[in-house]
Amino acid sequence: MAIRYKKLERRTPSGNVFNGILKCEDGESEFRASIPLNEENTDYQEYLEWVAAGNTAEAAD
Amino acid sequence: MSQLKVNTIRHTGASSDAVTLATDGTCTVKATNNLSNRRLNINGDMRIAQRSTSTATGDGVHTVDRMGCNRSGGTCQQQRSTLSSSDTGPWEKGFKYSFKLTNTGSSSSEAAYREIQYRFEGQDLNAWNHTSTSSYITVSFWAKSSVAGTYYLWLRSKGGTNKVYSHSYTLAANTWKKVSFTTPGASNVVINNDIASDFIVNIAVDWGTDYTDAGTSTGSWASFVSGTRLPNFAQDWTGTTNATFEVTGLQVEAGSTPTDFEFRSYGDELARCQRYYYQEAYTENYESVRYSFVSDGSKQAAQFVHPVPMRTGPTVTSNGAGNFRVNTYGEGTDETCNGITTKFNSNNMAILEFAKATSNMDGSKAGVISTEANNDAALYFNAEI
Repeated sequence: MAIRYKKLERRTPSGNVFNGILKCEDGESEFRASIPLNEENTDYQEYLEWVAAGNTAEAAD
Repeated sequence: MSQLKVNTIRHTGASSDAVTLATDGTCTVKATNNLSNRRLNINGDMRIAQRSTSTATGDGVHTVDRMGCNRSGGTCQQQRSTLSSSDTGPWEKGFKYSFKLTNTGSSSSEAAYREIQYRFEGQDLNAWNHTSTSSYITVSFWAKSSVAGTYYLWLRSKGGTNKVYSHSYTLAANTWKKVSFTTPGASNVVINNDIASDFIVNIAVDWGTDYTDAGTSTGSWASFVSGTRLPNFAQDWTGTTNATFEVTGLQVEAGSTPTDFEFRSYGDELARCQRYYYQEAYTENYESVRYSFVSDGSKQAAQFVHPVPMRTGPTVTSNGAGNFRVNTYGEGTDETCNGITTKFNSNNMAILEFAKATSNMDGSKAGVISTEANNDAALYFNAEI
């Protein structure tokens, strides 16, 4: 199975906000990596490239 | 009292002055030893290997901190290799480890390559006036290859239009050699004062002909072109099964004079490495990880203050949520963790939430995150470039 990403949301008084990305590596069965929405983070840069290639992350739980 | 009045001091066999005296009473000295705070790169003696002291495969940094493997085609193993007295050269200079690539799966594809990389934050090169042709950066290292031949060091600036500058050197098979290369700045080299990877030191082991060209010259700055980044390699390291290439004593410094390798304490070097990566590994059953508080009926949150401020907010990865346990005090609601997420994340600290399947915890209670009964739980914090 290919790499999977899932959105992570945080509850706030004004509702849920998009807070990060979870990553499930190829060959793994769970989302083990938690990636911040920080453009200096190379994992987030890879996620943005993955989105730019036409992929979409799974919705948050 | 006697007084010696000269303008310069030079060895009888040297071609340049060791000491130059100025009219204002100061002098410039080309000293090569007993200098401190010269080395700009981290972990150049390959001592720190937080991720693994064994072997690993794949691109990137997986064993020796800050040292990456850039590869394509076949398979290549990276490791921290322990040196011995038979490693004539670096051993006598005090080096105990090398960063070693082993070509475990050969490939003679024109698109295959192997390379050792060190990536700088742009802000860590401010000591080099990189836009001046009279300002220099010097790269020194010990290298050994099982395949004799001509190899290349190439520098790549990435702050604006990519620029490259390469140097060649030869290695006899299985023989350590120390090399040093001095590179001037240039007006069109851009290295920003930031935390991005604006400058890369590439110790090229082999590049296939998709990336090389017989007409490419060394010793001058050129715009980066993927297909002509280096001259052709005469030898075929990537096509040689179990070929090895080792590097140690990597020192990058501002100036045109290569100086002795600057050894730093283990603690100093480790702290510098932790700006990019650290991990917490637990080896006891039900070992306490952090005190926590119930943030939700099925989650507890705990704070992880990084040992040093990291380059940026790190990616936090576990070796499996099921290796952790979510505990409350006397409520009987303890349960194996089934998910770890980041609630807050900065370069100073992270707050992680450890979830469990049953939503039955009292929100007013404190708790504790521990390991499970399998004495193998780990968290990895990664802010590498």
